Amino acid sequence: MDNTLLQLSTTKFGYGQKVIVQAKSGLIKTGTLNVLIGKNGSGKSTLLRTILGMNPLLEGEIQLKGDDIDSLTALQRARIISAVLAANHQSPDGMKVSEMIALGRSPHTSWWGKLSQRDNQVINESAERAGVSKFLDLPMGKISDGERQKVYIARALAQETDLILLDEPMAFLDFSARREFLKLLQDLCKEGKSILYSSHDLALSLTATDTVWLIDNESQLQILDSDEFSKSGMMEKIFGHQL
Amino acid sequence: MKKSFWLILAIAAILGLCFLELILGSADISGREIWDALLGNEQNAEKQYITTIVFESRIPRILTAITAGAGLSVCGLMLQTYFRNPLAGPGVLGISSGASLGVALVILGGGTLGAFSSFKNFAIPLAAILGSAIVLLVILFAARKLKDQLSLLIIGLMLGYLTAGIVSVLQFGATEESIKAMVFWGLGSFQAATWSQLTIMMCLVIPALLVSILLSKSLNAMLLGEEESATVGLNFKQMSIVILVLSGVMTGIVTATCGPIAFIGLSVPHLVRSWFKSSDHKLLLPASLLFGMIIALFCDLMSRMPWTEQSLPLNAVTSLIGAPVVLSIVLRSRGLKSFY
Repeated sequence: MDNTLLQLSTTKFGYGQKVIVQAKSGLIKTGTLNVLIGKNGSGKSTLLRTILGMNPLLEGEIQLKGDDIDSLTALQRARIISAVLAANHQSPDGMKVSEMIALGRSPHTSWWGKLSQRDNQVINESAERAGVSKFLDLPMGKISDGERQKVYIARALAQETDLILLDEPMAFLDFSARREFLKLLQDLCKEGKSILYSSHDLALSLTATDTVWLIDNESQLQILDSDEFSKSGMMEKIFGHQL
Repeated sequence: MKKSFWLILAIAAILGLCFLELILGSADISGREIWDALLGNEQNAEKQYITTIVFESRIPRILTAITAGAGLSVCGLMLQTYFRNPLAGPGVLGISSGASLGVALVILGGGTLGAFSSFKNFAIPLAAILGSAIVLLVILFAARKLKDQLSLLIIGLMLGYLTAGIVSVLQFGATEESIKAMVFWGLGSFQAATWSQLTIMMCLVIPALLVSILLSKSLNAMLLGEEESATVGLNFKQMSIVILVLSGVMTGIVTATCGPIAFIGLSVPHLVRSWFKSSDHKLLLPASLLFGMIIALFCDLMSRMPWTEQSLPLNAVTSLIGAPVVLSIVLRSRGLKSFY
């Protein structure tokens, strides 16, 4: 299985009977940063949600570390993939930031969920890396949208998974924060994590990522090297303008 | 540190209230006499009645109150977290109404079945559990279709009216005696329990409480909502079924034994949350269990009005105490939303 973490084969994604995205093949290698792009409504979230097991896969197979992803329990999956979903978070405002990040440890803790010294260390380090250390004691309701987004990222880091999926993680960030954020993702990949995130910020993403997952106008998923993609002129074809 | 201090204090309060329950009552018995009766040292045949009062009335009453209080409070906490709704609770979502309907069918309809009292001992709890489980199933089904909680709450309220309506219709053809039994049952009491009813209740509630404690970690993840909780490894569907069954069983059996007890299941979780300012169920669940016992014992003591010969219906007291508790928490925290 060398360094293949996630592999798609002849997959169809969608809701009910309706196919939204098709992918003949696709793979995520260990230690790579991958960006998922496509127009609004092209099915980026659907694709991510299917990998996370929230939507059923309509056809084909997704393999995670060599196992059929449908054969994994939620717990097994949560030990390999962590996720930051787009908006619509339902977490209670009264929950403390530290409690929220600690939930990332739940796939690893015992039945009672007691945090060991190491668990606490991981929580603190994750908070540090995501830049939310100073909020640890605040309730979630007292911090801004952008800060909350970082807390979810800290939770995903605390989960210590090989793969991190992020749906529109930069939506609430300003330009300089985006650059900083991409730098963090690059560092994580250098440490051996693999990341797939969806974004509308193509120009910036192309400077940082290894591969581009593109949903084209025929609803086909195409996977290209980021360098190749910049030169291909595909962007103009799909988005109809130059960056 | 501070939290464990409060929990120890809660246990001390429970013991203190149990002691008061033992010595206070309409029959004037001294603490010394009760002590003798407890130890079985009472030799005087004239005072044998004290032993009877202690073992057949006061002790069962204490055990009934703490079992019911703990069970209802833990149900309330789990349902509030599950429905992510501060108004959820055994009483509000119509779950105890479902249990009431089951009980009514046995008490009122069972009149024709004659006086099979041993049959009733099992039939009433069983009917109550089935009744509450059916209402919970309807609510759960509705919760899958309707995503908003307000509609869900209205469905729960309507189910409550519906079952109340059916109970009224049943009363139409019932004997006077059974109607009276039904009305008294509806007032709520920890007194009514006989040892056999109490044993059935404890055999169901205690294991259910133990299982609930095991769920603390999963309940924390549940606060994230159905989808996000899956990303940290929670099997939400499985949890839903476990919570449904536990709540149905606990509310059903407590309602069958003590009547539909108002407010304890709703108010205790709020009290505990605002007290500890936490959303961590590893703390909230044991705390609800203990505070539920305290509130139940306290309400029972008040309802007995030990300073007079009279007593009040239990539900009058739980409402008089529970409603202001919820009101004050809502007003002080400017809304309960922050816990969900």
